Amino acid sequence: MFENIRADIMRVHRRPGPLRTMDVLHSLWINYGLQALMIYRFGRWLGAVRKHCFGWPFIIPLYPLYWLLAAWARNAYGINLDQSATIAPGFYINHFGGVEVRNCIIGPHCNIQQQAKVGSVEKTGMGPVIGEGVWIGAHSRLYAHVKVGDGAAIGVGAVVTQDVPGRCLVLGNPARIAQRDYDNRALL
Amino acid sequence: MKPLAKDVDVIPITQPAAKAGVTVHPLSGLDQRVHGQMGSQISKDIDIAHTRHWPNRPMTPASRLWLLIVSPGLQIILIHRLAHWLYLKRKNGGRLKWLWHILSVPAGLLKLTLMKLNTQSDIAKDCEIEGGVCFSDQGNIIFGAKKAGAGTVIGTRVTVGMNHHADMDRPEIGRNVWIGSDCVVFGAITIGDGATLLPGTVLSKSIPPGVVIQGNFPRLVLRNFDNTELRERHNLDAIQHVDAQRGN
Repeated sequence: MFENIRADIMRVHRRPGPLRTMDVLHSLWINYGLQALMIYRFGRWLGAVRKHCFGWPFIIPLYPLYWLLAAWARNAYGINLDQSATIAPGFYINHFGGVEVRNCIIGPHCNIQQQAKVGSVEKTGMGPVIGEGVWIGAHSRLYAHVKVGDGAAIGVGAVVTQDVPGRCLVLGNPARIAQRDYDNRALL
Repeated sequence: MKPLAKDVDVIPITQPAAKAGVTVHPLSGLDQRVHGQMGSQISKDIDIAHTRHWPNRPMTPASRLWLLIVSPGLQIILIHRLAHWLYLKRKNGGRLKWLWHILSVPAGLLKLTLMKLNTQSDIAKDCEIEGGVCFSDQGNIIFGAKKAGAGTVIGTRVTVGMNHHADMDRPEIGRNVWIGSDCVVFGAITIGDGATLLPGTVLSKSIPPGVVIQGNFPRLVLRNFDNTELRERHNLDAIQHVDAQRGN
């Protein structure tokens, strides 16, 4: 549980070396997305422990706490990280407001911005499968079951309807490839 | 020819020209108050928000004060003015630098509660906004422009400017610009005076004054468009309004 949270904090902290308690608190203070992500990780941890044969009596009383915290993140920050999403360690939410992530698989070291909607609208449908180190720009929408390759950059306001190959910059509505072999490491 | 009765009853909506001691319509361009002072800037903000909220209501001190309480869009611009003033004081230094550092703590708390948590919007503290800018009450605005001119109206779910740590320059917004909801404006660009961005525009290139832009991959819809009507009325369908203008 704590390794993925450490990776998330390192995305905000951005400095090598040991992570002190003050660094953790400072990162939580400056980045509201990190708070929402911690609440999401807490919910995933509850789900994992509940599956254990002796775990559920300890976990059931903690669920109201999770619901309260998730409602806080949803209403105060506008960040809705649904439990149906699978988010790998090292996720970073840049601004807050209108972020919705559900029914999707997100690889490690990804970046998401405000007003980005990832995941299918229907409860049963499968959303996008996003690779490693993908930058998802502000106001972009990924609803369909598409594959996004490693190191791709979903541009600002893009509506992705087709598969995106790795290391590509896509832009527009519907999204088209604006540049191949695009290096998004400056953005991440 | 004798005028019909219904023509006589119509009261002219246009206000008389500027006179000393008379409140001028804030969108008329006749407002000649001094720029730069925070009190007059806030006064202009309240004027423009008042015309948008209650077009048919007379502007009294009580109604202006009441608008301050009920309008979150007005609150966020007010808090930004306070935070920006403290930021300039901190940056310029001087003997009282410690005082501005201390005062920035309650200002930050005010920003957190009323701006960030209440409306989910954020305005960069070094952003220079002239007096008379109206933000939408629905919030969700991330605003990081370098400059914004007077008379600009900004809709809900708008993003202006990109993140700080990626080394990108920020947009400059001219005067009397109307930015619709769901717009994104980013990059080192200038938006000319009186330009109109219809809802859902994603803009990353400079545009001249008085044009109408629409679409993701932005396209030019119309030139020499007068957006006073759009800026005055908050419940106008912008796309229909522009289409009607195109037909003429």
